[in-house]
Formats: sequence, C-alpha cells, structure tokens
Amino acid sequence: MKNLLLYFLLLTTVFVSCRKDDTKPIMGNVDERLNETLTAYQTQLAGAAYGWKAVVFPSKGYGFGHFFKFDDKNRVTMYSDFNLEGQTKSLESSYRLKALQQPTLLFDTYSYLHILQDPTPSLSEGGELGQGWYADFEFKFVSASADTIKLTGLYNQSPLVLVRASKADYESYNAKGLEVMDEATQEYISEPTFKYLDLGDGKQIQCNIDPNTKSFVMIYKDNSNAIVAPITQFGYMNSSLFLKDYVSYNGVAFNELFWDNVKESFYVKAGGKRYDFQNSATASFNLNSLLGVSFNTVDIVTSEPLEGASLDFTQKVDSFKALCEATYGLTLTNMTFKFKPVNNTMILDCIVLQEGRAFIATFPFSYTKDANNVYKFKQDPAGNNGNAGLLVSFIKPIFDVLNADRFTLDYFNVRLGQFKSIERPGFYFSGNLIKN
Amino acid sequence: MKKNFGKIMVLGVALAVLASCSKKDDLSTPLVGLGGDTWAKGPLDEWLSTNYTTPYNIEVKYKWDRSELGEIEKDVVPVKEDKVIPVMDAIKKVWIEPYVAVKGEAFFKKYAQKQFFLVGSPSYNSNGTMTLGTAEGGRKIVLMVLNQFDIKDKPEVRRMLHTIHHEFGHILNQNIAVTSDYQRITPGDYTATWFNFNDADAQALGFITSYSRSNKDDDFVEMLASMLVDGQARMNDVVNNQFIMAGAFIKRDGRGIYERNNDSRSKLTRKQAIVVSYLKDAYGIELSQLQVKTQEAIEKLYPTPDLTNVIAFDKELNSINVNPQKVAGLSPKFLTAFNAGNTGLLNMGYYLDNISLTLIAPNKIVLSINLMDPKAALGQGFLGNFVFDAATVNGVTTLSNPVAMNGNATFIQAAVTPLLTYFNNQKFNIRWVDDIVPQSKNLYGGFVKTTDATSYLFGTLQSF
Repeated sequence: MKNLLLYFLLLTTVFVSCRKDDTKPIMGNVDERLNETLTAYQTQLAGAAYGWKAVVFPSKGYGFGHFFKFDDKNRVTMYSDFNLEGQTKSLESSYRLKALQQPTLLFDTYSYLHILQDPTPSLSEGGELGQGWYADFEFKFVSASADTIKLTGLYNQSPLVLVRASKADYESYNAKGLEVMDEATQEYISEPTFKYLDLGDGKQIQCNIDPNTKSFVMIYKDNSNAIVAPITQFGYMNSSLFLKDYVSYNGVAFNELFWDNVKESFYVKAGGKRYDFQNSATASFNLNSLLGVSFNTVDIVTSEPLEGASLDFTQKVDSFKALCEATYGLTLTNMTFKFKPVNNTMILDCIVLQEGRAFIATFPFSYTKDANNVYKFKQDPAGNNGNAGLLVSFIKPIFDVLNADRFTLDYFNVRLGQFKSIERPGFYFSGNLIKN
Repeated sequence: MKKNFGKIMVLGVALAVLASCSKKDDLSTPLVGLGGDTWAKGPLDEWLSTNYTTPYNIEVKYKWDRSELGEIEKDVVPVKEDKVIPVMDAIKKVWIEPYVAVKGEAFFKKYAQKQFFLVGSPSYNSNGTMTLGTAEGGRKIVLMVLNQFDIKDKPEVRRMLHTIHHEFGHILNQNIAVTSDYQRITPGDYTATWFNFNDADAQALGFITSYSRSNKDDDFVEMLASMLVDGQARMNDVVNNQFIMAGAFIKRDGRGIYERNNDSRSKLTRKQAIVVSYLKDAYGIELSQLQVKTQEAIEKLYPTPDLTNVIAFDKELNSINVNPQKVAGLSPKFLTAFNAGNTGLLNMGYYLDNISLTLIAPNKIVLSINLMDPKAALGQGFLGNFVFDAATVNGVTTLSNPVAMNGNATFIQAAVTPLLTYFNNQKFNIRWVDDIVPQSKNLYGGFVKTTDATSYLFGTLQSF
C-alpha cells in the first residue's frame, strides 16, 4: 500500500513536472520595453530644440533653477542660478539614460548641478560636510507629458521639474537671463513696501519673497479666521520664480510668479486671469499676530553692522563682542531670539566662532505678552548651558535691560522685526524674521 | 517477481513520459542591454583608450556609476571631465612608467588592476576622516578627490600620487602577501583612532605616517608609497630625526649631544628593509631603481626651480638651518670647523646646537649661531648673529667681512672663529645638493664651495 502510494506520487510528479509553460508575456519582453522607454525619453530630451527650463528642490529646502540643453551624443549644456558663474557661463558635461530599477537620468560628470551635492563645504559654497545641499544628480522619471517632465532624485529624493523652453527662453538664458532674474528679485524685495496679492475677494494676502532662503510665503486668514502662512520654495527661471508646490487661495491656484519687466513687479496667472502683486506702505497683518505663524525667530547678525538698532544697544553688543574676543578668542556672529509662543518661552542663542568652529551659548527666557502686545522678558539663569555660563557676565548689561523693561515689537524696514523698550526709548534692536 | 515486474512497468512508463516530454527551448533570443554601458565616445574616451585600455588593458571609468563605490550610501560626486586627462597622465608617468621601466610591460599587464573608477570628491567618514581612494581584490582602484587636482599645486599632486602608489601597494599585497614579520615589528600600536595622532607621533612609534597605524596592510603600503613618492632622502631624514623628547624639546646631555630614539629608528629601518626584500622576492623588483625612476618622473612632471628661486631675502623661505645631529652626510671639512666652534663654546660653558644662514638683503647673508647654556632650560637658546657681505656673480656667492651684529655675537666671536673662517672670503654655490644626497631636492638646500667640491654644508629650508 505504501509502495503504491509512492508509485502514484512518482507518476504524478513526472506528469506535473512535464507540463510546459507556454505563456508568453502579453506586453512583450520587459527589457525591450524598458529600452523603448529609455529611447523615448532620450528622444524627448534631446528633441527639445531649445532645451529645458528646470528647477531642482533639495530635500532640506531651497530651490535651484537650471537650464539644460541635451544633445543626442550624451552631452548636456547648462546654466544654474546657484552662483554668478552658473548664471552667466554655460557649462558642458555629460548625461546618460540608464535603467537602474527604473528609467533614470544620470548627470554623470561634474557640472553646476553637482555643486549642490558636493560633500566639501568650500566647494558647495555653504552646503553641509558630507551632504552638500541634500540635492541629487541621479533622477528617476516620474511622469512626462510633451512639455513637462517630472523626476525624483535617487539619493535625496529631491524633485526635478523640466519644462520645455521656447526659442525666446533659450535666447534669454544665453543672455544671462538667470542673473537678470536674480537681480530683479533682489531689487524688488529691497523696496521699502509691503507686497500683497488680491486674488479676487478683495482681501490682502501678504506675500514674502526671500531670495536668501529661496522661499515664498503667503499670509492670509483661512476659513476659520486663523492667520496661516504656508511656505514653499522657488528656483529661478528666466522670467519667473518657479514654485515647488502649487499654492492656492480661494480656488485660485498657481505655481509660478511671473516677472513683468515693464512694471518691474511680479504677477501670477490662474484660471485665465492675471493677478498683480501690489505695494502697500503698511503691512496687511500686525507683526505681533504673526509670531509663531510666519516667523518664530528674530536673528541679529552681529558679524555685520547692526541694522535698526539704537546706539545704546549697539554699544552694549560691541562691548559684549570685545569681551568674548579678548577673554576666549570668540567671535560673536549671531544673536538669535527663538520664540516658543505655546509655552511662552524664548531662547537667546549666541553663536560664537572659535578658530572657525561654531559654539552656541543658550540663554532661556520666559516672557508674557499682554493684550496690547507688550512683551515682558525674564531670564532664567538656571537654564543657561555651559557656554552661556562662561559668557553670562559679558552680556549682563543687555540682560539688565531685557529683564527690567517692557518691549513692543513692530516691523522695521519691512523685512526686519524690531523690539523697542517702553521705559528706555533709546534701547531698541532689530533682526531678520525667520521661521524654523 | 511479479511485484518487481509491476515496478519495472511503472518505471518504464515514467521514463517514456519523461523522454517524450523533452522539448526544445529557443536559445537564440538576444539578451537586451548586454554589453555594458554605451555612450557616444568623445576625445576623452579616445585618450583613455589609447593610453590605458589598449596598452595595458585597464578600463578608466570616469562616468558616474554609484555601484562602483564601496560605500554607496555616501555623498560623493563625479569627476570633472577636464581633470581626467591631467590626472591620468600624471599617474601614467609617475606610476605606470617607472614600474614598466624597471620590471617590464609583462609584469605590469599581469599585476596591474584592471579598472580605475574616478571620483571627484572625497568620501567623508563619520569619524571625521575622509577616504581618498580604495583598492579592491587586486582588481580595481577607486581614486577620489580628483576635482581638487591641480598640476601646479605640488602638495596636492604628491598626495594624489601617494594615493595611487598606496592603492597599487594594496593590489601587489593582495596578489602576493608580505611576510608576517612586517606586522610583528609594531604589533601593539595599531589603532582604529589613528587619526587622533599626527605623523610625528606615529613616526616616534615606528610608523611612517599616522594612517600607517590603521592596520598592518595600510602600514605596509604607506611605507611603500612613502618610499617611492617621497624618495630615499626624506625617508632617511625621518629616521635621522628620531630623538627622545623631553617635553617640546629633544633630550640631550650636558654637552648638547641628543639622545636618539633607537627604538623608532630601528622599527622604521626594519620596515623599509622588509618592503625592499618583499619587492625583490615577490616580484623581482629593485626598490632603489623604482624609487629613482619614480623620483625622476615626479621631477619631470613638476620641475623643481633652482634653490635661489626658492629661498631669497624677500621670500617666505629665506634661510637654511644646519644641524649636524639631524642631517647625515655633511662634509668632513665643514664638520671640522663646526666642531672647532663647538669646542670653543664648550670652553666658555656653552655648546653649539645649530647654525642658520639667512638671506636678509640682496648682498647680505647672516650666520646665526645658536648656542645653548646646559644649565638653563631647553627652550632658552642664544643667537650670535654675524652679517657677511655676499657678492653674487654668475651664481657664485662670495662671503666676506663678517661683522658681529649683537652682543651675543661679540661675546662668542673669538670662540667661533674657526666657523667664521670657514665662510669668510670663500666662494659658494647656493644650490640643491641632490648630487651629494640623492633625491634630496626640495628637502635640503646647501652651500657648496666652488673651489673645493668636497667642502659643503646643507640643511632644511626655513623662514627666519
């Protein structure tokens, strides 16, 4: 009986193993399909006679505009908005399409694009050691229409958008278009007026364009009447700022701020309509209502001449700097006031350099803000870190005022936030408004 | 039997079925994408093919391929195209050609790794160090930091050439391993935190560089690479400067005789000897010949200017320091004068430590006599300065009319007269002395008497 069972098993096995699988892949050979896809992408990239406008958005913020012109011999010519050289001097390097798990575009010799990813800080001009700007130079294809190709970096997952350029675009890039756009934007934001958009409902949407962080913020009241400040990044194109994400308000959505060369101002296009940026001498929103919304940090750059600071404050900072230098060889570069409105605390970080290495002295404060937007600070010496303990006696004259007086907060020169003592009108200081 | 018959039947049926089942597969389907990467070849590809692939069967891969890296998770970037030829040309001249000249093409084709992968940046490590290159399994070398290669930047070029010789040392060692007596010379001083120590620390322990302390293999190839790229004069100089330290200063007796670090001297020398015998026994290569060829190639690639263009009164380097306890090979005639000066100072209760010859003006050279008081702390020396008129005609400098410049000089003038006499009214060539100490160009500058080629002194360059 047992043997019979074995014979049966043997026979079954033989017959089963004999069955031939005659199924053919109905979609054809996978490798062939992959090659066809690569060829199609190659044809599309190299087929754009006037190249591609492009923006890459590194995973840790910023956006960097580029221009690529691909040929059919694995060569690419490019511009980049990263620095003046990239804006004005075209550079040729090589590229390749390759199947790496998925169709991939490789920029395979060094170019402007690789500066963003250079692990040596002196070469990436401010990127992190061993990381650069968290950008990419190997991209997989995500989607492609005739005029727009979207890709994602393989290493840092940074998105790259390619938009087919026109003849006029091509000529504009060759005529230093990126430099022109960069300078126009810098000039635009240096005007002493607040910028806002009216997207059809008559309400002012305060708009902040920051070329230093390549970010764009719209400040408005949402449906629940709360002030919101969504932020996105941009990179330069030859006549616009291209946004990382679509921003929308009241059904009006756009992802590009166009430059009007005649009006010397920006506008957006949505639903066939044009909305122009407007200027105003006053802000759409009181700065106090934006604390914790569009900014939570007031950063004083002490390595440069102070802007919007009183003589008294400037002298106290100079004395603080001199004592740091004389006693420990420290160079004070920043005094950064970081607010945490939820628990009414503020931390003052003093950033000091010793032989090029940064150390942070952390001084915690608690604060109150009353209905009239009057601030009262109290330093908590017990919370000072070790570095702060070494410097606390040097900064005491400033703390004496901070602890004793009441302060108001308002805009200074549009871009800065200024704290002013009520008791001592001759004591005030200003810093950059940062959200982090 | 009947039972067996049944079994045979079943087996027969099974076999018949199996046999009838055989079908032919179509094996002629072409494989898509076979044959590796393809791209439109340019002049750069041609150059590499002509200079590397065709003669030596070495592939030089300069286009980005993350899979070639040992650590694919690191952020590194591709090489700049305009760096490829300068780098590979230098490597060919300083690495391939010396080996081929000494041992022939057959050796090189047999043992050279078959692939270079070029990378633009270093690979930064979490411990604060960076990787400059790797060698794998005797087959492949990854060369990094090429984007900073600048043929005009000699230290950078040396570093790169050191890297290639280091990595090729690994390839040789991966083919035929060095004898284990090498690793027994300094068994206790290998450390994973080698980067916390500088080269001088490592040398005092018997390692040629700090990285040598990383492990026995890197120790071996660092020694090989240093011997080839730095040259024998520098290797000897390292050994000759091994002394026992007392704090920041060299320990010495009451007559100023330095206490030698015989332990590190012996370790460094034994390691060099094993490298020499390894190349000889394993590959039949005379290291000294290879060293000469490599040094010649470096010199050809990066010609050293005349000494008078390196040191001058208005340059940062303006002086030569001569210390007979630190350099070997000074001429007996100079040493006689030096020792006579020392004897004079010993009689005064001091000793002569070293002298410096400093160019202070187009026609003035200062002889600084560094004397020490054996009873005082080691950091406190005295300088007796004598200024000579220095007239230079057609590269011949005549020194004359020494004048004491300071009180110390007046104080010791009588005692050091033999030394002053050695220089006074004598004609010198101020030049490199690589004819006297081979491969010492860039290391030692010297004063050689034009009337007597057996009378000379030399030492390291300094700014004084």
